Amino acid sequence: MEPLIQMRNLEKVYEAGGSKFYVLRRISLDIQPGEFVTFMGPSGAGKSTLLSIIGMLDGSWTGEYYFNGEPVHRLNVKKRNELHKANIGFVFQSYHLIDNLTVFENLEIPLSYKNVPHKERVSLVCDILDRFNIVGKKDLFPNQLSGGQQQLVGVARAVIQSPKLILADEPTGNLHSAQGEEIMELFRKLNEAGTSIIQVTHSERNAAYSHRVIQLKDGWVVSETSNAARVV
Amino acid sequence: MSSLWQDVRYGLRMLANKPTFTLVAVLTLALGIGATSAVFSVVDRILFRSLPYPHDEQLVAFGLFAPIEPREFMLAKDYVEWRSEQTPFESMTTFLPGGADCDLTEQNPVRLDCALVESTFLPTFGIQPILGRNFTKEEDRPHAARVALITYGLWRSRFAGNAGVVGQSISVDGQPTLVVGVLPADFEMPTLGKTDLVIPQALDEAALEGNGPEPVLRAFARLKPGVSIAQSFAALEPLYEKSLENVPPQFRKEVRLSVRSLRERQVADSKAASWILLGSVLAVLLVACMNVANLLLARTTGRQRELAVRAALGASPARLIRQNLTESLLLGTIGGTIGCWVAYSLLQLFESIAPEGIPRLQQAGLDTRVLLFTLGVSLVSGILFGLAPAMRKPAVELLTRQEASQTSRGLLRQILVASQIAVSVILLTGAGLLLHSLLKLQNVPLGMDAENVVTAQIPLAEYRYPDAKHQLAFFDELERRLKHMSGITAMGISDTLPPSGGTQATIYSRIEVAGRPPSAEGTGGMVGWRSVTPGYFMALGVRIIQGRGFQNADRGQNQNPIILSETFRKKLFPNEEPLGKSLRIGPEAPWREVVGIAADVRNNGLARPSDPEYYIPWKFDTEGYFRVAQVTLRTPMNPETVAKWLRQETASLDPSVPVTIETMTQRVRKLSDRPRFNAVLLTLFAGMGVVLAAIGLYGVVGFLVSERTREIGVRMALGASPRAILRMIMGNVARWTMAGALLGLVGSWYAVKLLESLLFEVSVRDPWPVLAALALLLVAAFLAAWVPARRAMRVDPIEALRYE
Ligand SMILES: Nc1ncnc2c1ncn2[C@@H]1O[C@H](COP(=O)(O)OP(=O)(O)OP(=O)(O)O)[C@@H](O)[C@H]1O
Ligand SMILES: [Mg+2]
Repeated sequence: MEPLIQMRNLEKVYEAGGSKFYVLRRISLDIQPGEFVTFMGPSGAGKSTLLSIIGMLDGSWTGEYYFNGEPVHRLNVKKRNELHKANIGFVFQSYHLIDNLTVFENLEIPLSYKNVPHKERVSLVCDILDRFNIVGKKDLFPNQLSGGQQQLVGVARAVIQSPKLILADEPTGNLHSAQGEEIMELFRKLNEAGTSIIQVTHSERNAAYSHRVIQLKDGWVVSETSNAARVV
Repeated sequence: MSSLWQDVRYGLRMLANKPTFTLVAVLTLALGIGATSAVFSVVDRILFRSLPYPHDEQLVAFGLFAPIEPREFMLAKDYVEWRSEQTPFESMTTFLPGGADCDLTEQNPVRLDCALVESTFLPTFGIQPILGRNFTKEEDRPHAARVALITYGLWRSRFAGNAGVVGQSISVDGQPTLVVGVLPADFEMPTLGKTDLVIPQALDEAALEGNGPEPVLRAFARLKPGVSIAQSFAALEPLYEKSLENVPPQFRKEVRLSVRSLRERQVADSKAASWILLGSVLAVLLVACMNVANLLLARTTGRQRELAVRAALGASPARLIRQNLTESLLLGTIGGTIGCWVAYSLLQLFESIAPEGIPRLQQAGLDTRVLLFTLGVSLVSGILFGLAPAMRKPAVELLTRQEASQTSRGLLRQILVASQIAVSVILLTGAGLLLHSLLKLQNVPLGMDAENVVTAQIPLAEYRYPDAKHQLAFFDELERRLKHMSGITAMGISDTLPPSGGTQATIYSRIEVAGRPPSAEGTGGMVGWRSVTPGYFMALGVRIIQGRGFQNADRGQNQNPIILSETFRKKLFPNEEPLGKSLRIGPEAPWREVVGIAADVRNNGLARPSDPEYYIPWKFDTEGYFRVAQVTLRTPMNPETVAKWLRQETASLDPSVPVTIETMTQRVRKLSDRPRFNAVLLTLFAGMGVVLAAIGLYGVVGFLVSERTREIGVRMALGASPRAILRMIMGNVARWTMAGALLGLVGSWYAVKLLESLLFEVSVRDPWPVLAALALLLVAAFLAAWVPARRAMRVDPIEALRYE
């Protein structure tokens, strides 16, 4: 099977005052469709950077990156945005719901950018509200929700457009453990239903939900461990 | 006190720390305050400042209004009668309209403007000579020894401020005249005319008993304390009814009594314009204040955390408000100081645009009164724009929460910008209407060709040329000399010139056509007339559309031809062949034969409808007036050169005759000075409004983008393309721009009604100015929003989402 993500010698450099600073060094990795992968590593290792490159928010790097067979390194910005829009959902540590929109409207955002017709949008949002058990919250604003509920909406927003891949950067970082667990269970279910997931976490417990843990340090991939309990 | 000083110092430091913010705020304020002060100094003298007479509110102008005169007047006989019988006035006085030229005939003779006034003139107006005394009743009689009061200006310039001049005899028009007093520096005639000498009018009251022509007088009075204008009007009515009996019955309907305040008489026709200019400039100031308020709001949003810390450390809300207000008052004062300079430059600009744009424009300046006003405006605007941001409560909860709240939607700021846009739409619409009207006015068909025409006004001194015979002799000689100058295509002499008012005039019903009964009812309106030389029509380019113009033979003894204007022809002979018809003006006048019809010429100024008009040859006529002549030269040559020749030729005949030379285009241009002044000023203010609104919009959109950076980043991560982001921002901008524009539309629907009296051939419901205003504003708003909105497209989602 063709890998979902294939990277070869991917590098990212920041230039500050004439001196170069490598954030990612010769990253080569393959991630299969349906995989659940965890990036771990000390602070500043480059995890978030790698995640934004995978998510195609960041375009300034060198090397090769194939997403679902498409050579991302050869795409222009517009094509890259298309690819990102069609296939990837983001979950953020601090949820990043939009303050002045209701839960319902927040869920609608990704659909509106894919030009989904209004009727279909409403039914998709209703579906997801139902699936996540938050129908009662649909007219509330983010600041009327608890952190766990906000992240629930954050995840719902990421999956509403049925992406191939979910990218989550410390999704439980701002939650206490019970809430965190709830989110992780959700990820597991999504993954079992076929969605690939890449998460960044500092927590071994969260990492245990994934198939494979990739350790980063100073921009290098330093180790890979398969999770025996959860091999595909 | 020391804490106040601390506030000031801290405020200054804050301003110095943010140079761009401070610069924009100060310039915005300087513009707003400067423009306001400049306009205030112009309209102050019209609307607010007391006239230079004690208890000026008691002073009134009174008299009759009749078609023969644009202003109220009194006939001498009526006046004398009213004076002895009136009750509402403490005193009454008169002077002769227009005053008189008089020559100071000592060494270096000069022509002066003399006011001819009654002996009660100074006491009625409450004017005290600074030296000497007023002239007495006895000195105000015909054939009394001649006396004069001199104005302060003449006293300083001509007599070097020498107190000994009182009691000295000077020579006026060749006659010894005793100087009895010197007038105060702030003396002015109630009609605002230029005056150098005040001399007795010496009305021959005894002669009024007969049936001869009566002099026309301007009458003024001081109300008794406690008497209102309406009461005085009622008290005069019986006297007026009695005087009306002397008016031929068919004219009575067209006469009415008038009593109005002196200020009203002086500024009636510029009051509306003054209020409109003041209103517009205050609107600009408001826009400027809203702009600064907006800038301050943006800054306080950025300073939320600081304010929260201060509040947490125990600063009372009042203290925080005071700190904020200190800062805005500082801004206001700095803006006001620079505003003074702006005001000064604007005043110069106003004067250069239209020197006769508004009464007393030349006197307008930045005196203490205006400076105090400026200070007041600066402080008030400081409070105005400082209040909104100052009132914002510091959110202490900011400190406990993890991330700074960025929920402030800037609703207030958007309302401010929408209001700025609304005000700008109103200003622009007004300016558009005035400009359109001005354009129409400047393109009014004059009925003549004003290009390449040089005109000279030549007044003869009465004491040197006492009668028509001497006067005509002078001008005949001048005509003979000028006519053959090379380079002169045509040359005319006439008593008056179009297109300004001031033709000689008669009432229509006096005109009698041979073989028709005299007209029965009413005056029939006014008919203007001029006496002109044969060259007049050619020199001015007035077309003769039927028959012929005048010839030299028409100036012979028994020749009495007449030329009618087209309108007059239509009025007199609507369906008949006019040429060869006979008519006369009044029963004693000779019969005149119609020899030609001339095209209509604008003759009542540019805006007012023209009167019918006729021409008679420039030669002796009992009703003719030859003391002042207008010489008209059509020439392709440089006007400067022609002016020099003209002066030389006149001087070689009589060096004491002053010559005022203007090109015809200059004369015509002067007539639109007022509308131009109004239009240019309003356009200027509208322009300022638009620029300020655009700056405001720019600022708010920039702020909006930076405030929503995180949201924009999220949206991009969720799949928004940069275009979608731009659409979102511009859509937001469009919403309140449209709201503002709509508000402005509604506002201007009502506001333009105020302009009605200033418009010429343009309806306040003219759609073009509104549409143009909207278009211009929307383009400006779009551009102002586009630049900062594009920044939203370049938001880097990684950067925006970094600080989790
Ligand atoms: N704009 C930038 N300019 C310079 N260096 C940057 C920039 N953005 C990130 N870096 C550097 O890149 C490195 C990797 O950052 P990244 O955010 O990927 O780390 P991380 O592994 O996600 O750390 P954490 O666990 O703290 O989130 C860091 O050393 C950081 O300082
Ligand atoms: Mg990170």
